[in-house]
Amino acid sequence: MRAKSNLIRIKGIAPLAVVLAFGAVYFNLSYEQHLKKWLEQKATLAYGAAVDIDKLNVDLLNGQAHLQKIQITNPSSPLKNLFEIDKISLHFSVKELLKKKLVIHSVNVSGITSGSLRVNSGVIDDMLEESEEHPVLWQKTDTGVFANLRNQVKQGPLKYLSQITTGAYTLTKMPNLKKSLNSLKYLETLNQSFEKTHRDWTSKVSLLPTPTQLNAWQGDVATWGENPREIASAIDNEKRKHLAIQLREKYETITNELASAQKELTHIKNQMDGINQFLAEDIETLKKELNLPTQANDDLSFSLFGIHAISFLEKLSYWSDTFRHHGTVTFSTPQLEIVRTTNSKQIEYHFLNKKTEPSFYIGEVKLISGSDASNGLVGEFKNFTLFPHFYNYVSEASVRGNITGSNWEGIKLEVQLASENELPLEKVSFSVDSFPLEDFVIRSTSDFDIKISSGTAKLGIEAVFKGPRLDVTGIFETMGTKFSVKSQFSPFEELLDSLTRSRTILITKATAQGEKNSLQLTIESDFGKQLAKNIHETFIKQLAQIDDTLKTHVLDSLFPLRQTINEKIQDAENISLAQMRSTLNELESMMIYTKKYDPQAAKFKHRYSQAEKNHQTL
Amino acid sequence: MFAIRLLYRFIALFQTHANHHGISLGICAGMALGLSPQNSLHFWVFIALCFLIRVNLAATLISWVMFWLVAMLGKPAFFVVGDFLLNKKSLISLWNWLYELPFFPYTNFYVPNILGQMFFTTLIWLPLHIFSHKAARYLEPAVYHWWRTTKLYMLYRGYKPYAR
Repeated sequence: MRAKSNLIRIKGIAPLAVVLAFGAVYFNLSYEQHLKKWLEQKATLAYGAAVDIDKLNVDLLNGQAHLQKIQITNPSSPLKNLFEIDKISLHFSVKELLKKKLVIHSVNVSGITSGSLRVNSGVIDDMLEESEEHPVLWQKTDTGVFANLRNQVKQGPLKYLSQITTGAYTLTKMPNLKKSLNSLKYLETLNQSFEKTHRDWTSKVSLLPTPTQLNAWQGDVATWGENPREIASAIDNEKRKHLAIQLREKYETITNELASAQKELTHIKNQMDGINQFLAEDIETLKKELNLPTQANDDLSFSLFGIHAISFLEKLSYWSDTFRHHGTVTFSTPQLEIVRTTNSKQIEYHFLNKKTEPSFYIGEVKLISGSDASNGLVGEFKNFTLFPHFYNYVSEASVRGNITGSNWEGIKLEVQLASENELPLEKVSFSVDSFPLEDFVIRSTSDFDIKISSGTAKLGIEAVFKGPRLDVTGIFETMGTKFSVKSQFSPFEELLDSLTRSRTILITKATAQGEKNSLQLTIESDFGKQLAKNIHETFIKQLAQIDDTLKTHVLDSLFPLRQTINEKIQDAENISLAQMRSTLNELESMMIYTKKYDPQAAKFKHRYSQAEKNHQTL
Repeated sequence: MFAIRLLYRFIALFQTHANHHGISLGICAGMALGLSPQNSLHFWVFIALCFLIRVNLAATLISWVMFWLVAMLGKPAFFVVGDFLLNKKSLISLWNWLYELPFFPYTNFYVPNILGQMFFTTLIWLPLHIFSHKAARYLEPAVYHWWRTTKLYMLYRGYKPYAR
């Protein structure tokens, strides 16, 4: 009987240790590559255009990670980067990582440049498609206006402007739209009708005398010189007369056929030219199908600038909403809360404890444009977490600095995401210490206008979004005079509505309501008007460029069929018609000798010449 | 030669510890594997234990496949059990403690259906062990006879010299 064995498999320890050692070595060597790929994929998917990371180093023991040369594609210009970041350094907590929590204490982002060229196109396959999981705009408010605005933004005709002008967008859509091209249908019909004509001509080749026949006739006619009509026998003369009539009749038939063929060929060539009319129609159809802009349906200004502004607000709101309402609270005490969240994969519970760190938290992010922090813009983000309502974190984003070369100094933009009595509260403040004014007019409902031809001004605006309401307070200071502004937009939709409707006017004119004395300020600037004019001119140029691009694409689609038809026309001219002309020449040279036996032959010479003349004209 | 010998030894592993205790432990280990998702920490711990503890790996493999099917089919039921447990007020402090432990959150116990499967595994481990131990005693002679007549076993016997 077998002895009772121990519970532990002694022989299994060594193989397991080897496997674990191999696993550890493989993990150590390759996890950075895997993590880099995973990050790129996730970022690309979330962003909608390619995000590339050149190098990733992770020091797990010291809780540090360094990402180098991060390229973020510009979605509307895939061969350029929206941003290129030289280096991102992260400092995270290893202790919390062991608890499956990502707590990042600090992030330093340096060397941000924009508009750099990419080696490869940053287009991804689904980029041009509408994403079903696109962030829902202004989820926290249930008003229809936001949904309408979202639709308007989504249907904005210029969203793919750069791709349209470079042709990338049209190329991807073109195969599906080919069926609706009238010019293509027209060419197909033309091709079919030409096929029929060509078949008729081929069948008429039998009318032409064979080379043997021609040789025999030429031999006969050659002998007539040796034996002129005067001394030839009556039988010979009768035979000659018969041949002369036969040649004339053949000549007449072929001349008629040649004239008819040339006429048909001319008709087909004319029809080929008629395609231009269909091309113009097709371009208009394509514009409609591709939802491209026209001068009538858009004045561009909002599409060019507003779409970016709305996109920014949309993302801001989406993230604010997502972080604030991340899941359902199933249990709550001041110190502990259980939140049930649903993501695309599964339902899970999070146990939030005030005494411990959140499962996701970013303490501080510092962005420095260019290489020097003192020159340019500096951005800061603070306190980003998944459950800010529980941890009482106020998320902040701020941008500070100067725009060198444009005399804009002391720019400061701050965004705060917080809550007040469970009501979402977003605060946006913008201030500029000094910016130039040129031909600036301040009009009021009182009895004075102020016109500043040249000077500087200071501006400070604070906007607070409290649920659906927007409160704006601000100070505008110039030439030693202060204007304080306090406005309340309730409902907040009014502002968005004016954004979508007023468009160009928004650039040239802004109004604000004074606090106590109901002072109505209207600010107009020549700079704004000039800007609007320039935008309009750019738009006209872009439209022309779009038309050219579409025409090229349509012509490219028609190319194979046009080539086929042109080859057939060439074949008809070079083979069928040339054969007829050659035969006519042969017959004509014989008829010089036979016409004295057939007086009617002379006038057919004229007919052939007329046909030849027609051909030359073509 | 080395590869064949390695393969032989791997197949031989499945023949080892074919006693009643090894088989029943193997069935229980297979159940634990089948009811653990592959992206969880405890799955890999169970895999390591299968090689460290004297269990019959053939029984483990068969049991794994069977309980993987059970996990698939019983997902809604496991979800209900897990959801109930995660919401049970008396257990909240336990979950909170586990949530803050190092490594343990990598088991994904806070996902209701995974917790349901973990609970089910714990619950039926002992009954399954007792039942499979008894079943192995009755079924072993017949299964052992059948195994000796299979072509795979013949093949294994034929290559036996490579094991040395």
